[in-house]
Amino acid sequence: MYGDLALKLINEAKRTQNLEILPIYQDEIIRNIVRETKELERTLNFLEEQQKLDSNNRIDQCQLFVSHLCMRRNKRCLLAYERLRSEKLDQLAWENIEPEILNHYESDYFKNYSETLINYKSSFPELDLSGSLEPPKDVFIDVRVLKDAGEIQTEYGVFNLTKDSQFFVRKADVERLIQQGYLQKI
Amino acid sequence: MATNFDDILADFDNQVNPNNRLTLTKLKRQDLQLLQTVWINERMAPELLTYEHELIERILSRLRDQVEFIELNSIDIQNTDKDIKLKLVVIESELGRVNFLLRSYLRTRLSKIDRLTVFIRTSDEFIQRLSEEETIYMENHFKSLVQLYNNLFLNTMPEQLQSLDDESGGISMIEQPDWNKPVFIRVVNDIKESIIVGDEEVELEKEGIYLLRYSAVKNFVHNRDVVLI
Amino acid sequence: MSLPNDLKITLSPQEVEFLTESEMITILPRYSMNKLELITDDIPKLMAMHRIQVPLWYALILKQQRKCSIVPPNWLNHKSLKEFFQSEVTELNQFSKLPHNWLELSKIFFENAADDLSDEPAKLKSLIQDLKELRLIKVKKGLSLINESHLQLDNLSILEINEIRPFVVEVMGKLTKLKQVITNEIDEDRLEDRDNDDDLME
Repeated sequence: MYGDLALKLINEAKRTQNLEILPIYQDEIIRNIVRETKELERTLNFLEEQQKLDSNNRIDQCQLFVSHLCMRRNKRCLLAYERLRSEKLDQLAWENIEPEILNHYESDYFKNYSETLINYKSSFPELDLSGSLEPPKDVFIDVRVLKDAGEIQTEYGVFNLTKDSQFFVRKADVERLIQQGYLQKI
Repeated sequence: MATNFDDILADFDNQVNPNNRLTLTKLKRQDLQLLQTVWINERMAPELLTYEHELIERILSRLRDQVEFIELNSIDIQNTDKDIKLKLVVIESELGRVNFLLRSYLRTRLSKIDRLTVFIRTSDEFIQRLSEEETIYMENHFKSLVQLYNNLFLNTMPEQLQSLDDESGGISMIEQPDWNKPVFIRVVNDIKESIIVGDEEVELEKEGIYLLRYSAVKNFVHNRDVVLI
Repeated sequence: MSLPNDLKITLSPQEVEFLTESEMITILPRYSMNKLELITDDIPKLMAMHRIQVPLWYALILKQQRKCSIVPPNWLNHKSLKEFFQSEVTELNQFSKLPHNWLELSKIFFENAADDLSDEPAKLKSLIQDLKELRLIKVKKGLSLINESHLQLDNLSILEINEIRPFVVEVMGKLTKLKQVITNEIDEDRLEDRDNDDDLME
């Protein structure tokens, strides 16, 4: 039935909404929806010709109206699907994560948007615009080294992280090392 | 608050004695207050508000000075001088706070620009509200989106369906701000005239907190007689 | 996406706390320190045992390092909270005039400066809890008055607003739309009536 494919696509989009990753692009469904829409257009043209001959045919009028609606609905579904995907791609660009498998055009889009972002961010060199959107807490912390982690270079000098030593450091500089279990917050 | 603020700025510029520290401190505090207000307003308003160009520039320039100060002094942090250590902690903490506010403010705006692009592009009034950087961002982003839609499917669709600002078929494709979105407001200045909400007349009392539709108080939000919360 | 979805609807509790930390509070330094020039403030020279007003976030750093005690606001004690509770009970149609950040500020005190409170923290905590619950009951009662036009909620704190925000925004939004539909229909009826009247006149 007309519209079934579009519904399938919307279900897919809905599923994508709650996913961490971007699922594979539904190339085949999209192409079939476009084909269906073109078919609808042909029906439409035919019906319009019929109308010229007999403008009182209620059944034709109704079919004409429904075809119109189906075509528009198909378009809206395609756009809704791709808009959601492009928003996911935007998010990845903000987080500086390269998406894995992409449609060729989507990959172009991702590159373009990443560039747009870099360009915008470069107007604010003094700000870290990609930083956390959670308000900062405890900018500096005391940490104890749990296992040797070598040297780290920070704005506040070089730290030699040998086991059992303690440091007073900027949290942002060591967040990763804490996650990895090298350091412990005291 | 905006009007008071301009006065003080003018006063400050007119200060013969540049050592009038109290005024500068006051100005800094007012800027923080203002930044917090415009941040929350932007977060809660359904429309895109005017970019606070001067405010952001003032804060950014102080922020740059502070970063410079840190660069000059940071090496001393492992120093035994407790005073310097504490001082740097305070300065870094504040820097983090200001950075956060600006980041959240700017990104809130970008997110709204993304959502309302097609609408904004049709309105001179709204284009005026964007900063130069935001306009470039919006145009570039829009261009790559259109390209994406076109390449993936729009180009192969029937001609009558190829546009992106279609308003036929009873449903407009242009997303508008939800003007009637209910918002919480606090009245900060005296408002003499009562306002009309639907078919009711409402008097806004100073310091009062109200829940009502945004369209009814839009202009008061613009001139900051009320703030969103 | 430049802003996560949950932040598009409301301020997060962390953000509300952040805003409270920007406000001024009185401290009693145990330590002297030179003046500090910041981006959004200048902190005057600290002198040991001389009271001074500073931003709360700054006070919390000093407190963490045991370099000051924070003076509790004049309402954060047993006696005042009791009075506020009493006025909440007697004035059922309005909220008592607690400061707009009473919930946030008391939370910050309990977590970071409980030893600076003049009364036993556990008791204060339970008083705060009682107040919070009582006010929430009032909020809910007030919400039964919700219509499509407006609702006045003076003296409600941001945290209390946040608690009801998702619900009331949704409900009021729906009511506004319903009202619009009804009004449009009435207008159309009127037009039709007028048409009918015209018919009669003929």
